Amino acid sequence: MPDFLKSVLSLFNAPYGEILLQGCLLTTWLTVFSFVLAVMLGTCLAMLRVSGNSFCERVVAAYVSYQQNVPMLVHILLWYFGVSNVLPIFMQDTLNYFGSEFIYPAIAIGLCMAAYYSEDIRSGLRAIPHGQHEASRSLGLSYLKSMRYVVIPQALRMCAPPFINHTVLLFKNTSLAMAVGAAEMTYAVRDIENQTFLTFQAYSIATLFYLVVSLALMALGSYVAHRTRIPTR
Amino acid sequence: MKFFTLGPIGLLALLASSFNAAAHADQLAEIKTRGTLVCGVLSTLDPFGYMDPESREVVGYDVDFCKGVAKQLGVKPELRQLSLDARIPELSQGRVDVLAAVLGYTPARATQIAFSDAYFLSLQKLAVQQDSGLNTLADLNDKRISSIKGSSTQNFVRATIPGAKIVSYDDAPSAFMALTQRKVDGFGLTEAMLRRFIIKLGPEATLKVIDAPLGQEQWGLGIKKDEPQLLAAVNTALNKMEESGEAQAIFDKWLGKDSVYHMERTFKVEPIKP
Repeated sequence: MPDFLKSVLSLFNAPYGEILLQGCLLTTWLTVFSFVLAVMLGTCLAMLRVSGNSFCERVVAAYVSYQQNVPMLVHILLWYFGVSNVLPIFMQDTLNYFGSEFIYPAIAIGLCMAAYYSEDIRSGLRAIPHGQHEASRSLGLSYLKSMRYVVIPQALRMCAPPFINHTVLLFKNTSLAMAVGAAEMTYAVRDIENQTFLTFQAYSIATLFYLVVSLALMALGSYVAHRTRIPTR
Repeated sequence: MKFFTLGPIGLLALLASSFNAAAHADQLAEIKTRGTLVCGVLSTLDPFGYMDPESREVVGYDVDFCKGVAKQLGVKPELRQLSLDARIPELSQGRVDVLAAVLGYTPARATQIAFSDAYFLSLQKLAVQQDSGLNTLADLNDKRISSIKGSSTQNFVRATIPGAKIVSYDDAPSAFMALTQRKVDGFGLTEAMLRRFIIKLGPEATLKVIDAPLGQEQWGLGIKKDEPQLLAAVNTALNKMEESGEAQAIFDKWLGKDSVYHMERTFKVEPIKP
């Protein structure tokens, strides 16, 4: 057993430590970028979904079922090899210069997870009694203001548990970006495994990494949910 | 406490070691009693191992060598398709008997598996866009080069163009497409396959191959370590194929003058020189 630990530790030394660090950083950036995109878009989608305009509602419903019913890997490949090709050449060149292996998967993951988030937020919005909305409107708040100050703050608290689950899912799904050459954590580990043939050891590191970060995300989420909950009598 | 944490891991290790022990019977005898030689081949690398669209069967240079060896051993070949980066673990875990999967010799690989005599000599080259202004390997020093995950091309690029950034993909078509879509500046692969890809693009191809090779490597059939009988039998089979002219015929069929590659056979089946 000490031999096993020793060989695991040896993977943290040069040159493999650097590869792991880069992988860890890229996974973090992919998660952050697609999370921000997904939350912003998801919130907008959820508001459109409950806006009462039947055209908007149908469009959002169609978007959500498209995103949820196509595998994430297909989304990533479609963006990387497909969508990228119909962009104007100068945009392609700029994106390639800044690293298209990062940008396209981040967009694909962000757009896909936005669908999940919008459903989470919608379930939160539906949990708020309509009377709250009517009450704030009768107090003179505009539609947007009553959403912003009355309904959404409560709805976000309601939807914390599925929201946290989907954030963990988003984090884990960033590993799919390796299919298009993004050197994130799983790619890094596979690369090291190919160079050293320390299969068990390399994947143990990845397992531990994903496990620790996922658990930390869940703990952080429930901490925030706990801190911001509305005290009940 | 300590028991609970270390117990399961220890058990796993024990299981793993017992598997190794169980598989240690003489593999050659096992193959002969079973009557089949299980070959690990690739199905995406034309012309070495690929799916023939008409017959829906895996064919190619590597596949023919596998079949030739099986014939010499007096057993039936059984093909199993593998992915490039999983081929060595598949062999070491005993899921295939022999790897005929564009397996270039490297010292690191030789610590994991045994290599038969070389049945192919491969020059690795780089393809670039014609209008990129890249003409020598040195021009690609700070550029992005695509390769296949787990291929030896990555090592060659690291050694000959240390400043280049390697972007690796799951398979050759993806890595090649990255070059045609200009997501990378160069794509490194065995020359024959590289030219095959460019030919497939047709007359609109805007790619060229840089003359200077990244490196060369000898390909052997992969065999599990510590199976001297099987290794000797495979080597005998390969040498018999060389003597009978079968090796030459396989080369001519896939890569020679009448194929689209017009390549000359400049090597013979011979022991690999590390």
